[in-house]
Amino acid sequence: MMDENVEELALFESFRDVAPSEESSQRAIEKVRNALMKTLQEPAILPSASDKARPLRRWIGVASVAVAVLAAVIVVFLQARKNMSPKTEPPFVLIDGNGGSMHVPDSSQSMAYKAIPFLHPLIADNATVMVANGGDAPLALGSRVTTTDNDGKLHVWNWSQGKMSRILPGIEYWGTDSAITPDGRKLLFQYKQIIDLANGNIKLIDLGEPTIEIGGATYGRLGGMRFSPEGSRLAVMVTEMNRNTPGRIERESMRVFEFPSGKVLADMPLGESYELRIAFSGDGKAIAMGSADQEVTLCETDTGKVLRTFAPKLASQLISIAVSPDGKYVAASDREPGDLYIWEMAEGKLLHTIKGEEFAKGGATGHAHGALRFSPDGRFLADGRWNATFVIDVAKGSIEAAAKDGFPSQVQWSADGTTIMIIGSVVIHEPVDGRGKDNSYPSVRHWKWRPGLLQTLSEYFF
Amino acid sequence: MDEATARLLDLLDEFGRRLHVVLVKITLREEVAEELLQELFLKLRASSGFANASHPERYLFRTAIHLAFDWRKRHAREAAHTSPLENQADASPAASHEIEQREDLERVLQAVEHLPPDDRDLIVMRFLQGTSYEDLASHFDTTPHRLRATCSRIIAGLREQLAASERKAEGEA
Repeated sequence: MMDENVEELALFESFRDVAPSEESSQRAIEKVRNALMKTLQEPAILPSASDKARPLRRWIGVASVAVAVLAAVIVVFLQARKNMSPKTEPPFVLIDGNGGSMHVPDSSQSMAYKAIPFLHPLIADNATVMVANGGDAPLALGSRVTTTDNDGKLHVWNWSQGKMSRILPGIEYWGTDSAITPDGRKLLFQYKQIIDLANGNIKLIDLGEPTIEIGGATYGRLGGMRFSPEGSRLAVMVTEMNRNTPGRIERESMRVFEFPSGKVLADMPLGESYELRIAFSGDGKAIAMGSADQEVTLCETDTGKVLRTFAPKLASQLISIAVSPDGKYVAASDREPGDLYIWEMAEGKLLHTIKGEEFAKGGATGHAHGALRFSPDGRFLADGRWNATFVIDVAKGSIEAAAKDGFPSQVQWSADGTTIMIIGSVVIHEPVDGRGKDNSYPSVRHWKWRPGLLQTLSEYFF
Repeated sequence: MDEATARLLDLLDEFGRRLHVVLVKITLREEVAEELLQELFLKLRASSGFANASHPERYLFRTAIHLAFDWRKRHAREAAHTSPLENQADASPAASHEIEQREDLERVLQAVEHLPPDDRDLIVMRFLQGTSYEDLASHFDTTPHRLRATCSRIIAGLREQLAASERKAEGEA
């Protein structure tokens, strides 16, 4: 059976020549063997079945870690609450994830899992709970949150009750091919199943085949989903492959379905877009997106009709796009030179252009996909870029605050617009063996903001 | 000999060569791969996570990949300034070709480096190690079918990223 098409293999063809000789490998292996033998005087951590005390030791270890985590969380929580105005909703809660599954560095992985149950009591029923899904759209889950363990089982936590309710049976969770309805009640799984998170009941939806077989190889056909804010429309990215030429893409489009009926409403060609880079208007009736020739357009959700084209064209590929909740503004940025454009949505008038170099002066070293979002009142725009996050005054078109950050992949505002949550990763320099080492950790940071200030309220690393 | 060390020595015998090869492919430096291989096994000897791992082989390879990309991150800036390739006086066509080829490899590795961890591990195991989809399926607890589709999507993204970098480089030139 053919595993990949020629183009896929060609990308890595040159690596075939990069291989050490057998002698070189044997030398390296011997070196390791000698090093291991030298360590025999040192005690090692043994997975010994005969070690009867181990369960107790492990329990004590887990309890110690849990108490430490709980104490740290309480301190951070109290500090955050102290700094917030009374009108602000309960603090954001972070669960790291990538494709919905936990991704944390080696030893801290178990700690992240252990921390989850201890976070429950600190979360009010209406807390905003988010799961970072590694790019694209965040999963807003209301009072529930899902994640998976290393075995691909899908867990559902009921945060309001502070306990894990169940593992959904018979579901293998892998990749990013899932989405949560905006009300947080249902999981659309692998483009086929609508799973009720409250009771595990499953209904089917027909969005077309998620994959296609050509020449013995399987290609992803559906790749990315986005719900409209009110949940009645679902946008799915569809990649049609040439059936005679493995690997050749014929057409990429965004198909809009009525949810949950699965009725096809519109099919719109997508521009140069590996990801589904679109933004629904607040009422879900229009979608802002990029066209093949790097124009930003506004289309009617239910028909695909182009309502408006925004000038000027982007200088390069569309990277981020956002529509203000009140439907007044559209913002988009390009890959190079990283310029940000803000248009007035009704007439398509360009209001402001902020040059990429302005962001570079503020410490940004690149753009981040999808980390562009208007505040709830539409007055400000948060723009998370590599190594720096900015808040922009939409009326003035000026950068009002900037803070050095890691690599944001998503940005969320609190309902009152006073705080911002940034999900991404940070690089932390840690002392190791007297030298030091840079480690990258998935992170969630919670910022308090006002003009001239972005201040960290809390930050979590996994 | 203690049980942990004995187990590690067994794993070294069984997977040492494959681990060394993948470390060389990611770091592009044999001496670094040798150091990392040693670091890997010494770390695992002291790792409770590994000691309790239900699938030590998975743990071993993913830690190796993590270590190698970690090394790349640490040395990215340093390498940009002190790459031995840049110091080569030999301007023969063969040497130029080798330099170009290495730059190509670096570009691909940089793109892979920025993938989410699971995607990165999958691509490395499939395309640098040459592990079959059937074997990877048990490693990633999924089906070969799904892995093929996943790889297809990841590769498309990598190609897009590489093409954008190329366009940028051409623009600068």
